[in-house]
Amino acid sequence: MALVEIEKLTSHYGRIPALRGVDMRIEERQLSVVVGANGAGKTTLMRTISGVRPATGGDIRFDGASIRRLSAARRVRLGIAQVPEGRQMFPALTVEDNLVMGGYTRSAAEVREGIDRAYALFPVLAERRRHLAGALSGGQQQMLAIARALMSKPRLLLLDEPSMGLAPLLVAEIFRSVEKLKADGVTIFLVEQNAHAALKIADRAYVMETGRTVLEGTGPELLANDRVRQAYLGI
Amino acid sequence: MNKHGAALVDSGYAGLAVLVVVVLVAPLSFANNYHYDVAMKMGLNAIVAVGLNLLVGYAGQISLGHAAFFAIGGYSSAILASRYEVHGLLALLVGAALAGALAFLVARPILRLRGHYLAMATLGLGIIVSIVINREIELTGGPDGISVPALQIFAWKLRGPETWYWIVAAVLVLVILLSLNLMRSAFGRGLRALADSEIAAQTAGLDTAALKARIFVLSAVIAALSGSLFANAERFITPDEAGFLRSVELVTMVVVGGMASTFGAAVGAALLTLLPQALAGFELWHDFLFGVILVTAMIFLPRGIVPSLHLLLIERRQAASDRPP
Amino acid sequence: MAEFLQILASGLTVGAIYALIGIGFSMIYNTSDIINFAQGEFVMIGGMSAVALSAGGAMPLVLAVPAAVAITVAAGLAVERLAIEPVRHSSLVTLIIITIGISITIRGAVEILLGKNFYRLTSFSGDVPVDIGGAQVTPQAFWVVLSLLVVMAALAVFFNRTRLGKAMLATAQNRLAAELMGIDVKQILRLSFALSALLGALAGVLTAPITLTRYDVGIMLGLKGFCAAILGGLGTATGALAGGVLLGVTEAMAAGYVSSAYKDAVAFLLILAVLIIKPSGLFGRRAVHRV
Repeated sequence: MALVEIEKLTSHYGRIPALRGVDMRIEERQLSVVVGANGAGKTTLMRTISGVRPATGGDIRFDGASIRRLSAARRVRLGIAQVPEGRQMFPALTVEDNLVMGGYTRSAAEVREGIDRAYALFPVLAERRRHLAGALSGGQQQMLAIARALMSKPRLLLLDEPSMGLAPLLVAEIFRSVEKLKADGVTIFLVEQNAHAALKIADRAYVMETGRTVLEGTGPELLANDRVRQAYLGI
Repeated sequence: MNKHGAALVDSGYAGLAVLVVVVLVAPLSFANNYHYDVAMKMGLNAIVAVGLNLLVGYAGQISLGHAAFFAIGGYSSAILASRYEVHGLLALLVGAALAGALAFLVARPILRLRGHYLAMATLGLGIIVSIVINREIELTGGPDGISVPALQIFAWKLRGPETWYWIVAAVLVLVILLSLNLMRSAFGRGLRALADSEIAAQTAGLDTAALKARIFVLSAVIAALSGSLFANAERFITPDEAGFLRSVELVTMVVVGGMASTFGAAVGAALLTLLPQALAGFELWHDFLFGVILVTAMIFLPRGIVPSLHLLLIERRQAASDRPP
Repeated sequence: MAEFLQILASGLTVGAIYALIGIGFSMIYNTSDIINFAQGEFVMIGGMSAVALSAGGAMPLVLAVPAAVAITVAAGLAVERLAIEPVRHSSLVTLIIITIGISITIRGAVEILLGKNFYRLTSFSGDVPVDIGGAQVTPQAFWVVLSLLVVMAALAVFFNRTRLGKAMLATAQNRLAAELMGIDVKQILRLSFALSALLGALAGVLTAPITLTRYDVGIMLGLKGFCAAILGGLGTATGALAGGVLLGVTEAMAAGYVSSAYKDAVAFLLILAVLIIKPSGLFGRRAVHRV
């Protein structure tokens, strides 16, 4: 049984369907990736899994149990954490307070532990622990966003477009961190426009177009796939 | 209902016809002057509401101080006619001009604001006007109000609720015609674009600041017109007409009746004028019941009464045309 | 000099009241983008309940005041549950009308229960004025200012050192991210209403001995508290504090030295000036509108 099973999932903005029946499996300890163009529905999918957007049909099962009707807050307590698109900092809170917020559902001791782990993973955050999050650079904010999400000790980490707005060097660094997390045993679900970087590290990958998955395979398989190469890798 | 009929309803002209019929027929049921007076007040409120709807409903702005313009019209008529013996019609024009001038003056700086800030600015403006009217006792008679001599046109002294009922009704029909035509014109389309998305309208080349200012001034002038008619009809005016609560009443009429709906505004005005009459026996309970009705209406009919009914009509039409022959 | 101090003292006192009301406005606005036009009614309920409970010596002040605050908080939560939560995502105009409707309803209810008279609450520590440099200051004024300082300190601790307080700040700064942290945004909204009602009620009981209270004092007080909040930038408690004090002192000065008839106009003239010149207020940051 996969950690997450998504079955015929639909989601609408008013009358407009953003997800038209998505089927997907996310296996534990694997890095699963969804690539696709802007507007394909990747972020909507993310948000429907984390609970900030309601699903209009189909089901999402986490550890075998349906979570479709649970609030976002409940899903966090179950172990699903999302690093949202655009980082979504608490700009007037310090770096450390942002992390504290990440650990909102955890005990004070776990929060302390989590903060130490975060600083070990991203030393640059430790240096800036008392700075306001809004003053950080894009790359630092992305690191903070990931560290913040890890505070809730999630079983599933949802990463929404982590490379967005970042220079290539930073993108490489961020993806290295993601790989390290995977090595540490975190189940990761990654959504990306930057298909090349994402597919390189993916165990399992999906291609989405206009609200549906159109292709499925391992990372290397899709990297070698002609359609993918033409449409998303510019080759 | 066939396509032609539907078009008439949607364009508002069918509604106008209904209104004219109602206005002509209603007096048959009036038993005394009091009924004429209430009906006339419904009409006066409707005039202001239709004008305010242009600003709040169509252009998507907000004004919590519109009673000020109503009062400027009313007090101009009152003061000029009673203290300076200016002819009623001239006083009316002056009142409209003053209200328009004030609106013009504040339009640009205030209408740059949005949302709550705009609400607060209009509120502040309204309250300042209301305080001035209250305090300048020598000019306005202060809290006690000021009486107005009867308006005379040639040999006719225009007096009495019955006379004024017809005058107000005629003006209302004209104002509604104005509103309907305005919204079908290029100006009206510009307003609607503005309400939808100001930035999109700007990038399309519309001078949104000018549009907003113009509609603000127009709605102020219409309110002042109604205020003058009020002063002349009631032969008396008090600072209550300028107060915050009165401004709130006016916006409520537009919102409860239906925003971006000329008839919604008129219906809202009619209902909210009748409501205190209906609650007349329950003096003590008046505020409480009014508040409860208001909140409930907003929770269950957020689009307002007329648009909700219109929507129902459209859905019925849809269902009828979907049914297999 | 004595006259100046007198006016200053009175201005600071009423300014503190405006500040308390303004902080309440800010709190609800920051967590939910709702301007609660019924805020003034919380002030009124606080004062009127205290009067009703302590009337004729039925309850000693030291019990009546906390009880009055509790009643107001309960009312605030009821309002939030019944009339705000169902329509949280409505348009601006709808929300404005609803909160205005709520304030009319509350006023109406109190009118029915307690009539239209003015009432005075007993001063907390008597009425013997204290002489400060020639100015006669009522002891109640010290209660007002002291309470404001205590409130500010308590809020500082709450927001900067407790998890719940930080969660409230976080919700105000980024609602989406707050939800993703597992913060129950609905609870935060309820909390902000409760706190707002608490501050309003506090303002109400503090001022009732000085300015009397009646079923309709909420209207002007609410509006002026709102002015204080906007002057300060609708962002922070400190902003509302500064706005309130500025408003109170300016009002008192205008009434004392220029014209007392136009005292009420001061608040609204200030507001218009601020909104036209610097809408984000004294301390606010310029709002960036996303397209």
